[in-house]
Amino acid sequence: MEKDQTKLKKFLNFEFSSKEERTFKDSNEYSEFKRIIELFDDVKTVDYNQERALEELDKTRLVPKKNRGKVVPLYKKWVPMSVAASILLLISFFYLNSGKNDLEHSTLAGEFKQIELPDASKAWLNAKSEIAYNEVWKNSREINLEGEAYFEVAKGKTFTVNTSQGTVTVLGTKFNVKQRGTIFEVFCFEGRVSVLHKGQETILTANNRFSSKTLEKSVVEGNLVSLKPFWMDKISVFENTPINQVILDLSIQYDVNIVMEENLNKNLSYTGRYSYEDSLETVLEVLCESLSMKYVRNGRSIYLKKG
Amino acid sequence: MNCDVYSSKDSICEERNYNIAFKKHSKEVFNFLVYNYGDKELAEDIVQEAFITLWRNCEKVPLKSVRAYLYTISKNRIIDTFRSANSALKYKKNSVNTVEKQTPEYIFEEKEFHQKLNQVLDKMPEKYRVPFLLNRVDKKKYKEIAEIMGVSVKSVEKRIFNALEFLQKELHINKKRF
Repeated sequence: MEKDQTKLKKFLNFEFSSKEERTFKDSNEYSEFKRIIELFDDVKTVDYNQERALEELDKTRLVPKKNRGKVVPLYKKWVPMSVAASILLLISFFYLNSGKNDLEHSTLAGEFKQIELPDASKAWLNAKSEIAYNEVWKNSREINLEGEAYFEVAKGKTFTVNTSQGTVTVLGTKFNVKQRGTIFEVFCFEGRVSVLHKGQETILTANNRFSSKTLEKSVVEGNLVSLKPFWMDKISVFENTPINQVILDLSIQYDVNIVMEENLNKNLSYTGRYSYEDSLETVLEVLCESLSMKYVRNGRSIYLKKG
Repeated sequence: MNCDVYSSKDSICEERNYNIAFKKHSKEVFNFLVYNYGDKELAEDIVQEAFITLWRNCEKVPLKSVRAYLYTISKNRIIDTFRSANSALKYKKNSVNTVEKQTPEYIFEEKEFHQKLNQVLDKMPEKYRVPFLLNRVDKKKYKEIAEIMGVSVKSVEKRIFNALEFLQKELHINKKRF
C-alpha cells in the first residue's frame, strides 16, 4: 500500500512546470487518481455577494441603531458614540441657529480658495461658497457649508458637514458637497460617507454620487470618474446636465446673471465642458452653438434666445 | 491612486484600509468557512462577525496580521459551533428527526454531479475536506493551507492524499489498480 507519491504530491502543490505536468499526466501514478482530480478541475466555489455583504456590514458597523440580532459585541462601542452623536447634533443645531461660529471663509463668484482646517484636514471652496466652523475642535469636527466644497479629511473623530439641505458625516475620506438652492449633491472620491437628507440616510463609497433630485445613490462610471472634483482643475464638465444647472454654474464662475427667454425650451440638456480660463464669450458661443441659441449681453446680464 | 495597497503607516482603523482588507480577504475566509460548514448562510454570518470583531479591535491588530486574525476568529467560531452541535446531538439521538436534512453545499452546484460531490464531501471528515478543497478549488499551496489551519505542511500533504483516497472509495471508481 505504501507507494511513492512524491510526484503526485508535487503535482497537487502546483510545483510542476507545464512540461513536467504533461509528462506526469501520462504516468500511471496520475491515472490512478485522474478521474477524481479532474472532477474537481471545473468546480466553482459557492457564490458570495461581496458587495451586499459589505453594505450589510456597514449597516451594523456605522449605524448603531439598527441592531440586527446576532452581532452583539459592537454595541458596547457604539452606544456611547451614538449618544455623543445626538448631543453633537443638538449642539450643531444651536450653532446653526445662533451663528456662533468663530471662523468663516467665503469666495466670490469666480473665486477659488484652499483652507486648512484646525486638524490638518483640508477644504477647497468653489466659487460663491461659504464655510463656517469653530476655531477649536474638541469633540466634534463640524462645518457649516453654503455652496460647494471639496474636503480631504484627516483621520480621527467623525467629521460633519451641515448644509441647509442635508448633512454629510464621514470617518476619514475625500468627498465633494454641493448645495446650491435646493440642489444637494455629494460625491465620494475615497473612503465612505454617510449622507443624511430629509431623514433618509444613504451610505456612499468611492465613485458614488448622491443627488437630492433622484434621492438615491448612483455609481459614476466612464469619463466622469476622477480623483477630485473637476472644478478644482478649473473646469466644469456636463453630461446631459439640465440647462438651468449649466446656467447656474456659469453665473457662479463669471459673476453674471443669465436669463432664459420665455419661449426657450427649459428641458434642454447639455453635454460638454469649459475651462474657467476661457472667456465668457467663448463659453457662451459654444453653448449657444450646440443648443442652437443666441445670446445678448448687457453688462452683467446675459439673455439667451432662440437661435 | 493605488486602490488595493494599504497606506503604510496607518492602521486597520483607517476606513480605506479596512475596506481594502474586506475586499482582499472576505471571499477567501468565506470559502474556508463554507468548506467547514457546508452552509452558505452560516459562513456569511461568521464572515460579518469576524470583520466586526476586527473593527472593534482595530487598534490592537497590526496590518500584517489582519488576515491571520480573521482566520483565528473564524476557527474559534467553528470550534464553538461544532462543540455545541455535538452536545446537542447527544440529546437528539433518542428523538425522531422529522425534518429532512438539506444537502450541504461545499461547492457550487452547477452540474448534476456536483450535487453528488457535495453529498460525498459531507461524509468526509472535515480535517480532510477543508485542506482538500482549499487546494483543489482555491488552488492554494500546502504551505498556505498549513498556515491557515495551524498544522504542518507534512500533515496537509497527507490529509489531501487521504481525501483523494476517500473520494475514490466513495465514488466507486477504483476499478483499475496498477
